[in-house]
Amino acid sequence: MAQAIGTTSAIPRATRSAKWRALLREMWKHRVDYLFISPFFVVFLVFGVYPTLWGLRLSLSRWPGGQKPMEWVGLNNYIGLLTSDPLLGKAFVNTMMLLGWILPTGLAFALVVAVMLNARRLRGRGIFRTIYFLPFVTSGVIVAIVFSQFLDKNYGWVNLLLGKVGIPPVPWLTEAIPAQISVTLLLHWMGSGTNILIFLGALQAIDRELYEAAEIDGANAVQTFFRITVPMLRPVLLFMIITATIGLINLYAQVKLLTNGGPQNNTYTMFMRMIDLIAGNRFGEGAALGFIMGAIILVITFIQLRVLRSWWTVEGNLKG
Amino acid sequence: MATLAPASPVRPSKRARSPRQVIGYGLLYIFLTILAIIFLFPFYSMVVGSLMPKEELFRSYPQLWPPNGPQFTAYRLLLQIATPEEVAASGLQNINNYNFVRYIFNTLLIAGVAVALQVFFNTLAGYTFAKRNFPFKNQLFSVILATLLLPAAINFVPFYLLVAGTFGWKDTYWPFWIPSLATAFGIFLMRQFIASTVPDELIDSATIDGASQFQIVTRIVMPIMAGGMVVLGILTFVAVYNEYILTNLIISKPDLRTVQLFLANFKQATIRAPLYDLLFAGSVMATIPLLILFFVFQRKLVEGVMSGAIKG
Repeated sequence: MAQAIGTTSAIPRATRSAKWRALLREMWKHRVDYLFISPFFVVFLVFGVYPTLWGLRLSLSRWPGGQKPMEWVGLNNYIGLLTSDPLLGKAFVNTMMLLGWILPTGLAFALVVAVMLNARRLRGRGIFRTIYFLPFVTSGVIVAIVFSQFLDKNYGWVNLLLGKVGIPPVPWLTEAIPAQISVTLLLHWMGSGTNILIFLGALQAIDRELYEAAEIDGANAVQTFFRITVPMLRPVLLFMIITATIGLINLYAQVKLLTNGGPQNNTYTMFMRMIDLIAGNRFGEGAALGFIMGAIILVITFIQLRVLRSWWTVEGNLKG
Repeated sequence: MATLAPASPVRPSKRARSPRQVIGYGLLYIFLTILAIIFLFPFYSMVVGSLMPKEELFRSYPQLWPPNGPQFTAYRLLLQIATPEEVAASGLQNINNYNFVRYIFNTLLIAGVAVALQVFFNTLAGYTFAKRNFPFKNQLFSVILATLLLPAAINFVPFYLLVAGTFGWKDTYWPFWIPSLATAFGIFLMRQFIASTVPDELIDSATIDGASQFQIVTRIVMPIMAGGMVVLGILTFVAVYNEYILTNLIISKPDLRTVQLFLANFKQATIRAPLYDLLFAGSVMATIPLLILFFVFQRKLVEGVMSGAIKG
């Protein structure tokens, strides 16, 4: 039996090692190519892979940093964060609420504006799209500074304008729901321009003949919008939903400086929890939180993909 | 609906418009203009606020224009050219802690070096993936694309400990330069640009003439796809220039601060009664370099984003 295996594999082994030698020769011939792409891989191994693996070990330990020894605690960091960390639970709920505010309003707004900018005989399209894209250059810090003045209860522009139409001053930054709306408004102002541009690019790539055919068939504007425009934008829509979700889970600077997570932690974000754990030298829990946030992003993205796909197939079946 | 009147399949000439179309386009222009004002207004109010003394800001703000004419005291304080009387009246404890020129210089240094490194190394790798063939090329490129999906949050804490602890890079600028020397997004972007702009024949003939790979990249590829390098350069510049989270953890010496860190520290230190005159003046000066870049290269940027290749 053993002999039989030995004899049958003897010939392939010889050719296999010859193949290996040829491959190595080929790779050596391309050493300059490998050199040119090596910076990414070196940096990724040192600053990406290594900290992730070490972070896995760290997340199972208690370690206050410095020269102190790492103390193995098993899954306690994860259990503690998930079951008895009131701030993290609050941060998770806040993020989900923000996601609920931002995704529908932001995408609908950007899509409507992009459709308007795509109107066939519009003049000055270039100027409008440049202006909407301008907030791209601002930083989270500066936007937070400007908006904290804008939304100031007594001295802000928003309440001044609301007062002109008889609405009493709104405590934008000091009450739960208004504060969440404030964060939403800030993120819309910062990010809508990019979304409008991406939508506009996708719209302009749609074949005009599709619309003309629909017009001949007697479809009205609403029908063409939902039957042609929206389906053609699916890949872009998916890309935006996923980027927006990741962006929200990593949200920090804007909220830190606008509301500092308040009032009563109602705008506290998951990334704030991470920074606070670092500031408190609770590195084991911080590392664990990183993996928890990674898992949350993964799960949410997966759910979004499933939901969107099922909507699309249902819709497809209805259309026949 | 107005634009889709039950018309003949043949489009009417461009001049002929129904009254409904005229009204429709009129409303469209009004809406888009109001929206443009909303998008521009925060910039405008930032400028107006920076030109008003702080007593005026809290007495009469919001104003469309400084009631007593524009005053540049806040700018002079931040640029360290204010008179002693102005410094005394400002109430700032130690004017040397508001050395804005220094912070702008630091920020430009960090962003400038980061741009040079990233554009260079990403172009090298982008060229190799676009034009060369070698074993495991597709597998290696897939690895690069897959890393785009890794959220930064996953290893943020150990990354910080590695950079600040093991490497001892606290209060240095290395953390902004070395770990992002070459990036997945940059390599992907440069590969797309090179594949679509640099003809194979040029590279072939240069190879026959005996040019080295490095010479091909620097003498042939880079000049042809300079536009792509500009787009990557601006995206990198804006991202690094506006960075706050890592800067806040790495930099603690006041003299090494970036403008974002300075403004954030200043805002948090005066949280009860923000000195908006200085905050706004600082914000205006911090935004100016980016606005210049934006307007010089806006066509390239806008087209880059619209092509869908770039996420904001």
